[in-house]
Parts: sequence; structure tokens; C-alpha cells
Amino acid sequence: MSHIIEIEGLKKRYGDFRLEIPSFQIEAGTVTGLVGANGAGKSTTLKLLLNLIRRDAGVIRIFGMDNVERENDIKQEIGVVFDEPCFHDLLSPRNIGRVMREWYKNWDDGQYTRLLDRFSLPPNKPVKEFSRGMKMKLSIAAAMCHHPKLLILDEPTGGLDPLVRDEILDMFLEFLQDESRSILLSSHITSDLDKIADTIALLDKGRLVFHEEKDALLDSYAVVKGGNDQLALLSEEKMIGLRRNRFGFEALCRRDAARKYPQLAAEHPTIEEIMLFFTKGKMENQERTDVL
Amino acid sequence: MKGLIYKDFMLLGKQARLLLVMIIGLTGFWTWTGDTVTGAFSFSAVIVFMLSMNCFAYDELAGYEKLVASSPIPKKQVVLARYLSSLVVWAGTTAVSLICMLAVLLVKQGTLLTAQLAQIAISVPLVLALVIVLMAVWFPIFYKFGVNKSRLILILVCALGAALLVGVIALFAEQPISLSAFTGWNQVLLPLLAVAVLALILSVSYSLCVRILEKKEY
Repeated sequence: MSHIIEIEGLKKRYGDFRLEIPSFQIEAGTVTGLVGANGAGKSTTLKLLLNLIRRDAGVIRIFGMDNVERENDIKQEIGVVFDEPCFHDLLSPRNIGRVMREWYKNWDDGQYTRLLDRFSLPPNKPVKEFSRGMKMKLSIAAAMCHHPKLLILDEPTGGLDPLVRDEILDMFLEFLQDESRSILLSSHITSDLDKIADTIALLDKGRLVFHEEKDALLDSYAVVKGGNDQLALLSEEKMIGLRRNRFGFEALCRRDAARKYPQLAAEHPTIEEIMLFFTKGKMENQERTDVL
Repeated sequence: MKGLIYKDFMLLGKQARLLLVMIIGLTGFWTWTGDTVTGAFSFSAVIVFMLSMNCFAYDELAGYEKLVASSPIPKKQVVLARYLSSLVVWAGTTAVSLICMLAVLLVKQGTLLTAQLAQIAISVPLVLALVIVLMAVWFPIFYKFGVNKSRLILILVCALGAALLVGVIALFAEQPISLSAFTGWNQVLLPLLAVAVLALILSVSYSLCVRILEKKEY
């Protein structure tokens, strides 16, 4: 498979915050979910890809081209949706279509009309009369009408009700029926990623913790549960993260390690649990070490 | 670029009716009551400046600059589109003013005087020069600081400008500037020099805007 996005030695500093991604690739035909807490560096990474902010060091190649040198060629093939819709309130979807058709060589008026129709967006109503869900649908429709090869989506389903989210996710799945297309999606809503992501990348405090195939990721970890008295059984180095409550503890371990403790209950983790254990759970684990 | 110009017109179009009434009303009033036609044309410079500032403000409010920055439009075209849309707005307001002015003069006098036509022929390029200078000075400031901060700078500049003007008038009240220098070969050379200076100012301003936009982070 060819790489749609390749990152090497990427560095960006914002005051105290430092983003460092030594290596990261996205294959064609895949959906990559970028997860992490607020301020982990998800939006910064997406902005660096789009050259909306300048990198301090490193290389970013999209479709094999440097994202700064060939910025405009690359952007002809990318559809972008930000967490906040960026359209003027006074303009209608029809006006917006008329503007954007001048930006992209492959703009497809028919596709735009079909998507407006599919999302039940009134073409002549000003955007100021739209709900947040309608505005996000409009952003997505506008991002998809030049037949991009890559969609970059920053929290596209944030603040939307489950029905709209589901509709949008279905849209993304249809987009991926052409296997040359890819999606890079940052989201807090890990259930969305459960549904559509092929690979998951976790960012924590500006560091890329892992980037793995979703199924392999879910298969290779287990959440081990037990009473407080059983915590001592668990070897510290086998634990990725630890959470304690008044009934006992939960720990994330590699699945093969979890098998060594048959006396403890082991369950399949969700993406959210993996994310929490890798970030928040790590801190608790550190606290435990300090206490011991 | 065409799309961005089109967008500016669609946004400004929402205020078009009100502006049209203002332009026609004020031009008609000034032409009917005044001795000169310069005032009516100068108003178009103010309108163009205000509308351009509105376009920047609309973009800022919507976060549109981020969307444009993630599109394949080169930064040079983004800036050029803003200058062109402002110039087209100036052309439009001037055309409306001109039609209104000629109509009022015909109604008032029954004919058009050569002196008035000459005044119109001089006023239009002078106001265009004023519009170009305003764009050249303020567009880089709008791009750099955004409209809100620029408004404060504008208030400060207006206050200082007014103080300076009062000072200059007081200083030269007893020694009016002689217009005899603007005769003979100077009548050709000075306009050419003015065009060259305006072109230089505009190109410096344009390059500055492009550089600001290229360095901007979103």
C-alpha cells in the first residue's frame, strides 16, 4: 500500500507545549482516528499537515509531495472540515457552492446539489438560520464535492446528536468505497472511531504514543480487574495504566501478560479505555509506584 | 480568485439597497446645493473604505481566512481579490454617483457646463488615487492586526490627522500655495509622476499583504 501521508521528525513548539512526532504514515484507503485529550496536539498536527502553522523541524509529505513546496497542488486533492464551520452567516449553501466551484478544478456541482438534498439542507436559506448540525453537514458536503483523495476532519461530529453523527459517518464510509481515498479524523468521540477507523493514533502531551491497526490494538490489550487485595499480584511493568476505585482496581495490560493472571478478570478494552489508561491511567500508575 | 471576489460582492450585496439610497441621496443633495462636484465623489472613497473593512470583518467573524488558507488558492490571489473587489466597488459607486450627478445637473441647469465636466474629469482620478492610497495603507494593517485592532489604530490616525490638518491650515493660512506651478509641461509630468507613485505604493502594499498572509498562522 502507498503512503498518503508521511511524517518524519516533525517538531513544533508553542510556548511550553511541544509536539514531536518522529514518524507517522497513513496508507491509502484507510481511516485513521487521531485521539487524545484536549491539548494533546491533535489539532496542531492537522494544522501542520495543512500548513496552517509553520513546523519548526521535520518533513511532511502528502501524496508523496512536500506539503509546503507543493501546497496548492496538494490542497486540490484534500477536503477539510474544521470543528467550527467557517462559512459566512449571510451566505446560503447555493452562494457557498458558487464561490467554492472557483477554488477547485474538480468541483462537481451535481454532487454538491445531491449532498445538499441528501442532508436536507435548504440551498437558499442563509447559514445563520442553520443549526450546528446543519452547518457541520454543509461543511462536510462542501469538503467532498471536489472529489478529494484525502479528507482531513477536525472533530467533525463534536456537539452533534447521535442521529446526525450516524448519518455523517455513513457518508464517510461511502466516501471510502473508492479505495484510493483516505480519511484522517481527530475525535473525542471514540465510539465514532469504533465504527469507522482502521487505525488509531494516540497523542499525549504532544507525543505520539502509538499508531496501530484498530483491531490489532483491541486484540493486543486487556483490561484486568480485581479487588484491592489482588493489586499486589500484578507486576508493575506489565501494567500500562491503572485506575483504582473503592471496590478494587482496573489495569490495562498487554493481552499475553493478562493471561498470566487467571485469577483476575480480563476484558476486551474499548478505544476510550485504551486512551484513558495510556494517558490518565499512567499518572495513577506513577502515583502507585511512588506510594510503594 | 474569481470566487473570492464573488463572495465579497455577495456579502456586500446584502447592504446594496441601503448604500444605493445613501449614494443617490447624498450625491443628489451635494450636487443640488453645492458649487463643486468633488464632495460627491469623495464620498465614494469613504464608502469603498468602509465596505472593504466590512469584508475583512465578515471574514474574520466567520473564520473564513482559515478555510481559504486550507484551500488551493495561492496567497497572492487572495490578496489580489480583495484589492480588485474594492476597486470594482469604487467603480460601481462612482458610476452611480456620476449618473445621479449628471441627472441632477441637467434638471437644475437644463445643460451641462464645460467647467463642471472638467471638474468631474479631474475629480474621478483624484478620488481613485485617494482610494488606492487608503487601500495601500490600510489593507496590510487589516491583514496584520485584524479589523478590531485596526479600528483603534484608525481612530488614533484620524485624531492625529485632524490635529495635523488644523496645524497645516493655521500655518499656511497667510501663505496660500500657488497653483501656478501646475501649468505647462508640469500638467503632463505631474499626473504621470502621480501614477508612478501610486503604482509603487500599491505594489509595495500588495507585497506586504502577501508576506503577512504567508507568515500568518491559524
